[in-house]
Amino acid sequence: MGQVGQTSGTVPPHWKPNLIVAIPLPLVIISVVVFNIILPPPAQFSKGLAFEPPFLNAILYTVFLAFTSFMVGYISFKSYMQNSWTFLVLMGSGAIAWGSTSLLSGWLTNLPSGPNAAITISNTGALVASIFHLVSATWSKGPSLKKDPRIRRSILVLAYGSVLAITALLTVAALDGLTPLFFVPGVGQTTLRMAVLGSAAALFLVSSILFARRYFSSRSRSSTLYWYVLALGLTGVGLAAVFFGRAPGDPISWTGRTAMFLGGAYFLKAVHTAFKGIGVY
Amino acid sequence: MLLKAKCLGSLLIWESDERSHQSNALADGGISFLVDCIVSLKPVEIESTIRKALVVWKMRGSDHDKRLRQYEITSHGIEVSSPFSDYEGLLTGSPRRSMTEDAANNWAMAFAKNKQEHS
Repeated sequence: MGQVGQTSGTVPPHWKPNLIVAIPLPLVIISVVVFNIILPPPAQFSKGLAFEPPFLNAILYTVFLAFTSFMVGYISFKSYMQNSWTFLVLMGSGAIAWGSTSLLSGWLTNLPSGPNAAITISNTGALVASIFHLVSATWSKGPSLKKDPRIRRSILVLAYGSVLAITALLTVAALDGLTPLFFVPGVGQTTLRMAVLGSAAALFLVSSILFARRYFSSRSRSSTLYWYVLALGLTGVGLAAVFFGRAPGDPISWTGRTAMFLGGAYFLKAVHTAFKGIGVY
Repeated sequence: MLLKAKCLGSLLIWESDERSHQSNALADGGISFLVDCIVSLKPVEIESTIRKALVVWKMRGSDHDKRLRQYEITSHGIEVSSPFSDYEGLLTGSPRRSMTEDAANNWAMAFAKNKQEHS
């Protein structure tokens, strides 16, 4: 980790944060506020205002949430193998939780039994992912370079494997109706869903703020961290937007989903900057 | 062939020209087809440190390990350790970190360096 000390104190001359890419964050909040005012309450909501074609959600969730999260999981895996920072395992596990539950929920949205299973998987996955990200953002313990590469690999396999196993169990339980209800068609979301989704959104936003604080407090600002902060922020705002949705596929849901998809694109951009080495130091 | 027929193992040491930076200078001698096994030992410079690298080029009738590995000569003999999986171009004399390893390092630095500044 000697490279860390060598690079601190230098300001990158060639990279400046692009403020335009941060605009979607307030834009989504304003859009949700406006839609929340103009849209009728859930009891009077017309299904004609909802847009939920089969497979569209599945494809978008796969591309923008699952694929991008798996990329974060992959680079965190490689990074932990190399640097042994524990927060990378937590970050990677959070990404895997978010990616795997998004993938499954996307493809299970249009089940004949209704969207409850997909919503249960998606929201629970979001909560798990947000907890992992929050712990990762607050983790202050340094690396343990004495760890054998085989031990590091085992830790990662155990962490990622556990997350995937829990996702699989959650999916089976949700499909079999063994989990509490998150959404009742015609009635709307349950109190449990509001609590889970609200907590997930809040924790994503807190994680984003914690990483942002780290970004601003550093003299050498990283573009990777900048994109990651925005990605977490958009994911949190997106989840919060869904919280106010009247029904799956309504304008508020799509505003939230768009924010999450953009967040996914930003996660990918963060990975891209790491590969390109743009503004890393 | 005569030694082999008498069940005797023979060891040929070939010192290749370091200046040429050839991947496999032994092939230039035109004798690689005669031997059953070729093991190349080469010092490589990584992060201003000379490390000893070993690679098996050929082992007749064997699906041998093709990775370039680090080795040390200790009081217990030769100790072959982990492969140089993080680097590329070691045999050409211009080693560089592989793109993925570089990205993985950048990823950790982006988040971790500030952690270290705070601690």
